[in-house]
Amino acid sequence: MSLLCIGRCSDSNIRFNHIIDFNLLKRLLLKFVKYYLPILILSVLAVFWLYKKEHKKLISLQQEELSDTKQLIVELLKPMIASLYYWEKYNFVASDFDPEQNAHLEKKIGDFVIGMDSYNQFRLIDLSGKEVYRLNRQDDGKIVKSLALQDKANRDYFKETTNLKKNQIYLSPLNLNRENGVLELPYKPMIRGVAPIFDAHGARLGIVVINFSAERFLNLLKKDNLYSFLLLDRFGNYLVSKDGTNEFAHLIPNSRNVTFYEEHPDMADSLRSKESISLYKNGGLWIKTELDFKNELAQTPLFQNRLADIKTNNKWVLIKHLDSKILNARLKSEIITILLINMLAIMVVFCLSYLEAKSDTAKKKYMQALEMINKELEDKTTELENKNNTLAVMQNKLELRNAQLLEYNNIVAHNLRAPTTSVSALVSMLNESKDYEEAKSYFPKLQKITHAINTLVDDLLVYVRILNDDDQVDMENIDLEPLIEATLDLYVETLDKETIDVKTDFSAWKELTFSKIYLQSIMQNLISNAIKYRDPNNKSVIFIRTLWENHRKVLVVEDNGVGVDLDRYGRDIFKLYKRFHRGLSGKGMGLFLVKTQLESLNANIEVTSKLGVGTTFKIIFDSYE
Amino acid sequence: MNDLSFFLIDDDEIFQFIMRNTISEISPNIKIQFFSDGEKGIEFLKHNLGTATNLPDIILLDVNMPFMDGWEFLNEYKSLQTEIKKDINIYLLTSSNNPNDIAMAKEISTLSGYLVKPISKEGIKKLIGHFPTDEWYHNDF
Repeated sequence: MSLLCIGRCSDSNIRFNHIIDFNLLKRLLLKFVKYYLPILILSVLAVFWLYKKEHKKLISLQQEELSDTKQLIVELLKPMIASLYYWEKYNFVASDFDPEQNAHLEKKIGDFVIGMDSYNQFRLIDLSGKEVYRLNRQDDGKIVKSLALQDKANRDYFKETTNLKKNQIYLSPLNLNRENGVLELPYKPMIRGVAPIFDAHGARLGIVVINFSAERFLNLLKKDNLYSFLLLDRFGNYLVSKDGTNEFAHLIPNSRNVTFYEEHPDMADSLRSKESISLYKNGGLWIKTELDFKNELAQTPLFQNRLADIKTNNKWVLIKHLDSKILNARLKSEIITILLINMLAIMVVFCLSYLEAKSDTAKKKYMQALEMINKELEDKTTELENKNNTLAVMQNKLELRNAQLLEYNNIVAHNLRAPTTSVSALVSMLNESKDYEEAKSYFPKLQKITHAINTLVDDLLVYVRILNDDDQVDMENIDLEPLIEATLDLYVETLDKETIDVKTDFSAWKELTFSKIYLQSIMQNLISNAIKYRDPNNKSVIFIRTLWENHRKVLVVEDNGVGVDLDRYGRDIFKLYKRFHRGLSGKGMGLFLVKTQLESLNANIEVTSKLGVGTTFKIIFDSYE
Repeated sequence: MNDLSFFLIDDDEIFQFIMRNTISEISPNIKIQFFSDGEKGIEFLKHNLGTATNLPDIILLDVNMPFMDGWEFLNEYKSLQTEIKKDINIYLLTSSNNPNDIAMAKEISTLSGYLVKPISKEGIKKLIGHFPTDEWYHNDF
């Protein structure tokens, strides 16, 4: 560009550069978006995918953990069931339910309770609800036989178990220990296991009650949990919560008794809909599974083999809660990696886009420069073509002029030499003449020659004037019809007398630019020729018309006169002093002048003729016309 | 020589006059007949094919004439030649000194030579003294 724009077009060049800079920026942005957008989309998708995958993994891991916990609880309950079954089958007798007579049980039951350190109490209760035998595990671990036997007839676990059939084992809900109707402090969470006792005859003696301390396993549940863990009973009461809040609130008087479902009413339905479920709430993840004692314990061999049956309402809900902070922390490193990758991608894509945009711009610049060069070349070519055309025109003109000069030369050489030689011959004869009479006879001859020479010189002058004038001839817009009418008027007498029919047809064109004087002279010559060489044996018709041929205006003058044998005279018909018709006056100047005048203005004339049929002259004007 | 018979076919009346004048000066016995163009010349020949006494010994033929020029005359003459009962020598009178024309003239078998116009009175006298010639003739110019 700059190479082509040295100097005069520097201003537009500067403006042009601004446009290019703007274009470069636009192209750069477009390219950047084009290349970076897929990466961005992929990144977002990757983040989502990772998020999903991570959560899925997390959920399944936590579910597994919950299921492990469930299993742990079951495993912890199993020995208790076994123990209850054992004591149910112990073969107690009626006297064993008489506190006065059951001291012998001490050794047996004492040994048993010592071995089971999670058993806090072992009791036998008779049919009326009165304790008949009771062992307590003290806080220091000592097993002590309690003499203060209590009446448990109003307690739930007694009421629930009065109808227990043989081999039925009852597990109470997890609750806090009460002694003499008052909650024992510190709170002692426990499950009571109850089995009915029958004597050998199948008579019901009472029940055996074992208090299973849940303290340790509750601690166990709380301890190894990375995330917040909740244990709820079937109603949503808190049995275990992360920081201990609300635990056993439903049992403790004056405490704020709210269930989990009351605290989270928006999740209650979803959580309760399935045994195992996970759901997102406020960016946190809740994972829940249920532990139905009846279902889970059904797997133990005792129940599997239908040796015993279990009765319990216990249905616990295990919940894990991962809040959004913890969740996002896990994904943080991945997201940072993806972000870093994106930053890198942005940099690389930007560089690439810049390079590409720049090369594109350069390419475009190059193409524009090429186009300009091309255009200039085209202009030059056109210029050259124009010059060529001008040269061709000039060459044509020169050739024509050459031919005309040659013609002039010939005329001078042939037509002037003969009379001048004749003059010198006559003059020498005059010199040698014997008398005046003889000399006198030469004068008419001399006069004739001088007349001929004069005519020749006059004609030559006319010819030379045409040759010299061709640049100064007045070209004007000519209305053809009146010009031809005026020409025909010159011959009106002859035309009328000889009743020569003149037809015209100027429908193709009516006007042209030409020399008026020349065209008048040309039409006079052609019309007078047509009249002069008419066929006296035929009704004479002269037909003058215009037409187009190869985009050129053509004027035709056609007659049905005697015609000329062009095979004989064709090459001479437009030459000076050529005559072809004996007996008809003619100087042989007309057609010569016509051709000369036409050629001097780049027009041309053609002739077709046939003896006895007629002659047609066709004037072909220059194509600019 | 004095009994020679000439045809001059030329439309130039003055040249005819000068020829006539010059020839009568040389010898009153020399016959000369004039035709103002080729057509008239050939017409005469056609009508006198068998009459040798009416036919010339020499034809001086101008090239540049109306109605029928010299070349055309030569063409017509060629077709009559076998019927003509006399040996005629034809000399072309030409005002052209164009080498092409001269070469063309030499190609024509019926021609015996050519004379370049204009011919002065002395030139004519000199010519007549030489005619007819056995070899190709051309005058100095």
